[in-house]
Amino acid sequence: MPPKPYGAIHFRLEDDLAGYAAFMRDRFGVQTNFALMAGTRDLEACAARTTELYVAVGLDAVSNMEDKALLLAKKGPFDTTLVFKEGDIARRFGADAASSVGAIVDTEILADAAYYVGYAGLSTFDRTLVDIRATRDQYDARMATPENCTFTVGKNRQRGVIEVRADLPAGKVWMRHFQSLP
Amino acid sequence: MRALVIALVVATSAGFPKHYDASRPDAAPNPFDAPRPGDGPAAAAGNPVVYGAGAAAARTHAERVALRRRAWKENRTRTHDARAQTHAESSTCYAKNYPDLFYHFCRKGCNVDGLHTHFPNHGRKEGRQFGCVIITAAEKARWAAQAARLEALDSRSHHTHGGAILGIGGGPRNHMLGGPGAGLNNAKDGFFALCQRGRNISYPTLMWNARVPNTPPFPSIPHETLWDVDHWNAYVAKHGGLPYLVADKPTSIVGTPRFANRLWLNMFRGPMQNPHGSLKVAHFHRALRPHPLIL
Repeated sequence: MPPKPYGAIHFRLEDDLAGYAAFMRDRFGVQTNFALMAGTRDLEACAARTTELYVAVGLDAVSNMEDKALLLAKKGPFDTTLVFKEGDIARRFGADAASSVGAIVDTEILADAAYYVGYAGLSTFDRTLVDIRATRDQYDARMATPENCTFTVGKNRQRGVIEVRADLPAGKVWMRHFQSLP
Repeated sequence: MRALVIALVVATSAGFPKHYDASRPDAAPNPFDAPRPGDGPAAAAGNPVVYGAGAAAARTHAERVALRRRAWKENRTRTHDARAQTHAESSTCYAKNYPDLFYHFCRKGCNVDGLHTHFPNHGRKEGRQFGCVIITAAEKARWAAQAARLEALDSRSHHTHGGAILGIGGGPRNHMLGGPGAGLNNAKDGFFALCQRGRNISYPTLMWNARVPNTPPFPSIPHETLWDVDHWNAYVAKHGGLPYLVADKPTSIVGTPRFANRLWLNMFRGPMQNPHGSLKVAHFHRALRPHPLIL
């Protein structure tokens, strides 16, 4: 686990869903994500004291060479260094459990991050992270609100989204800073 | 008016006795009290009905009726007990004849009703015989092999319990690969759904599907491999509102509910829209801590 404070991002880039055309169309590449992050003012404020960006991704399963090269370069937005989970943590539980164990490790790290960027519209993993971060410090009955610095990227139309970037390779994409639950 | 009432009372008490009283000197003899062949000596005074060995002492109609009623009750009880004993004996014999039934129904005392129900529902069709009959050694050996199979299966798996869910996520191949049931968080959502419904998860019930299954059978992971069950139970004991988990090692998916991506709409999202639901989600995530070996 990287030393706090650190930023975190979840990339759904693994090729285990290859063959699902819709999924492949909707996902973002690394470059688009980083460009969106760099252009988001709220996120810049959240990342002010962070030097490391934890990337939740199954690096071994990323088959897109462009994405993989960007990740291996270990350079993130806001002059951060990319860090990944140690492969041994997951592998020592066996091949069957490796992906689930990896997901658990990612969940714990992303929940504790100073800022978090996911794709809640695409991945239930990201959507759960929003819930976890919203209720992490809740010990009494009250309406949950997402912790500050919880972001999601998105594509095409979405209600309540202000910052839309049309100049990126993926088309009309946006970054949303959660102030309430989606 | 007062005089009329007094006259009526006097007339009633004097001329219309309320019931037959044999002690009255003017009472007519009861024709049913006539002695019958086989009657013994008269009952002692103050103890008009003699039971048991003195049954023959009944002399009056009331005595005979009381004796017959008593005998009928005793016979009824005796018959009922005998029938119940037969029922239990036959069921036990049925189990003893068939080792697989004995293994299934008689490990902690025989489930007599279960055995009795088994025969009409299954046993007859399977060619079994109910009751204390003698079956051939070959037939017994055949069912012994079935018992061995059951025992081997149990050593690798666990018994199903009412209300228990065995396996979350997984399912058909298209569901595993990006379909509605795929992914660790869908499994987690499904687990939360059980908590919301107040399911009694008295036995280990959860398995988490692996992400990248290539060929069936799909790999699955017992929940206690991934999550700290002791922490979960300690947290539940302290905060309540969630079911307990018990460590076990399930190895096969018995029933696979289909949990879709829309789960969070019904499970997490719904509760998150009210204060108490939000608190429950918070408790759920705090109780679900990774296994110590993971972190």
